[in-house]
Amino acid sequence: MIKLQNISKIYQTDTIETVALDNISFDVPDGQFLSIMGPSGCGKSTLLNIIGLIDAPTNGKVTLSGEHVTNYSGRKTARFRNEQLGFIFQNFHLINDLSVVDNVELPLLYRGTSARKRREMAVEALRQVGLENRIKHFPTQLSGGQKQRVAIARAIVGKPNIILADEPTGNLDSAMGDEVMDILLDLNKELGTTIVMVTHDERMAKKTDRLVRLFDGSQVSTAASI
Amino acid sequence: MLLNYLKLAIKVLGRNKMYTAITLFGISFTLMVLMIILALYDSELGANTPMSKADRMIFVDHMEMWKPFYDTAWAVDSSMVGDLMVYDTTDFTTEESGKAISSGSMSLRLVEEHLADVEPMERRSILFDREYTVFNEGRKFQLTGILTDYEYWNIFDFNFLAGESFTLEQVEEAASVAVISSSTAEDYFGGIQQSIGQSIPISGREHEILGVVEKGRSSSHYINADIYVPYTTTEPSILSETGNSGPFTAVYLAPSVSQRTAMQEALDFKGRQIPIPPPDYPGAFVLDNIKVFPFTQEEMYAWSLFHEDEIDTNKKYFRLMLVLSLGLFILIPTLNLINVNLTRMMERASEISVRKTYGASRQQILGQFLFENIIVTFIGGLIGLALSLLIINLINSSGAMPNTTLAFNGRVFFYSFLMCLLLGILSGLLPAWRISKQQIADGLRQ
Repeated sequence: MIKLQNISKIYQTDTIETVALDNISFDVPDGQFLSIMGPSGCGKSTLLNIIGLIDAPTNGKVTLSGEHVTNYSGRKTARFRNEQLGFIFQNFHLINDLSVVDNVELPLLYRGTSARKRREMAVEALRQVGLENRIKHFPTQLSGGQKQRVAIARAIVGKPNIILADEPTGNLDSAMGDEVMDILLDLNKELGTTIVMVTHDERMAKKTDRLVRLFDGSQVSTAASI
Repeated sequence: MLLNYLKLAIKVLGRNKMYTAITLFGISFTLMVLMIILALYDSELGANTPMSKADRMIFVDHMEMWKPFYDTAWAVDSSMVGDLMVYDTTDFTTEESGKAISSGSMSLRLVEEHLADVEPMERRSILFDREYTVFNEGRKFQLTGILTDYEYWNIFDFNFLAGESFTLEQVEEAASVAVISSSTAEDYFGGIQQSIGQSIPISGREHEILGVVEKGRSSSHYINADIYVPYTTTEPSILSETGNSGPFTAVYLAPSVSQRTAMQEALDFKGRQIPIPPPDYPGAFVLDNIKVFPFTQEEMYAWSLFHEDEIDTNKKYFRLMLVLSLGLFILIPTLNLINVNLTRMMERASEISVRKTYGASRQQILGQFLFENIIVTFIGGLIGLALSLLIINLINSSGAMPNTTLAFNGRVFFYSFLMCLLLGILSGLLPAWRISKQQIADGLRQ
């Protein structure tokens, strides 16, 4: 369960105060696939970053899996992210100097998993996204869709409860986008993983269980997707 | 995890070859210079044969004698009597107006009468050096000789390649015997073994060759010579000099390293007890002070460089010079590497954010970049090691430093290894610390 209570984010310089998020509150029950939509600059990614403990809210409280995580220390936050959260980015953010399998192993590396176990789990995650035959390739040798599938494998390898996806299909053509979306839907249905996805694509948003719309940092609607 | 870091470090090195080349050149060149400085320090001041016991030795190489100058002032009282000037009184006053310092080595009498035995002390030797010109089969040889006693061979542990040193009896009998260096044996006699038993004409007397020694690595003139002969074979006038000045240096060996300072203090005290001899020139110059300088090997070296009166000032300057030169050679490339590293790490902002997103703590990011930096430094260190071996060989074979032989031993390697580690940590720490502080969201936007 994700619970957001009165989340605000204000960026302040000497002269300008910018309200990126204004009093956002909603819950995401376990196993739900939620999409967040809104125009560019409305605060979607900021909200996702706050849910993912990548950024801290100026005001408000975030509760993830029953834990109040807003005031966690740096080390505790890092550990929580490692064990409970998986991330997928629009730009994939794969490490080009590491092979596909080494990229996927990354979350396990910071969990102290043994090398052999890491390799087994990474290959299994790659099998789930249909890339088990690409383990020794490097990201630069893959297509955009394949890169995003590697990023999904990296997100699921540690078996997190929540996956946060920031425009996962934004850099892909529609066929590849559908492919990636199908994988996410399967993960949600088969493993019951909670997914929060930021998207610009109405078509993708309609495939999810619920939609939250933001406009200029404010929540304008939350409804079941149709 | 380290394997993962290692793989990444190697990939990063291969990715930007120009950067890698600049970094490796900087590190290897710096380390090469450091290693050569360390090798030079080790050769000059390290515990190497024949100065393995250098940390127990004290050298009394020179003394100073002060002679005050006197000025005479005249005070004339006169008056006019008629047309004549009449001198009523004339006063003379003589006052000290300055001091002349005479500095040099000592006479045999001074050493034997006043600096012979101190407590604690295990051994004492005396020596002086001089140049000889000898001819062999129409060839002219310019040889540096050390004239010394039997204890010399017990204090300095020369490596005898053939034969042996002269004995106490041979020194007492002023026997015409000699020990030569391996290079003299090769140049003069054509080989080490065949030179034993042959003779060489020194000061008009044929000296029988008793032994051949390996050349020492230090340039110290207490050990570096082409030929070593008993000091008793020198001119009688040198041995019977009744004044304080002469050509001799005295070397003292303490029973243990910990007793060296006590021995040095005892020698200093003895030096202060030397009675001031009668005036050399009555009325004009009167010797009023004598001071001897018992120095350690490092102090001798420092004194020869700076010539300051205070021993500690010389030592301070010498150490400051060493620290500054080593510091400069570490600091400049470190600053440069910090700069290069920071740029390189900034390029990897996205990677760092991804790692942090997936649970890497700040310490782990810091550790990763330090590890990468140390790997790069070690590769640079290996290249630097190969370069230093090459340059050390070149310096030794070129004769650029004829009296010093640079060597690359375990000690030099150990210190260079430490320097290498220091360079890696210093140049990696600041950029890694800065980059580890980066906000995840900022890195992900890149």
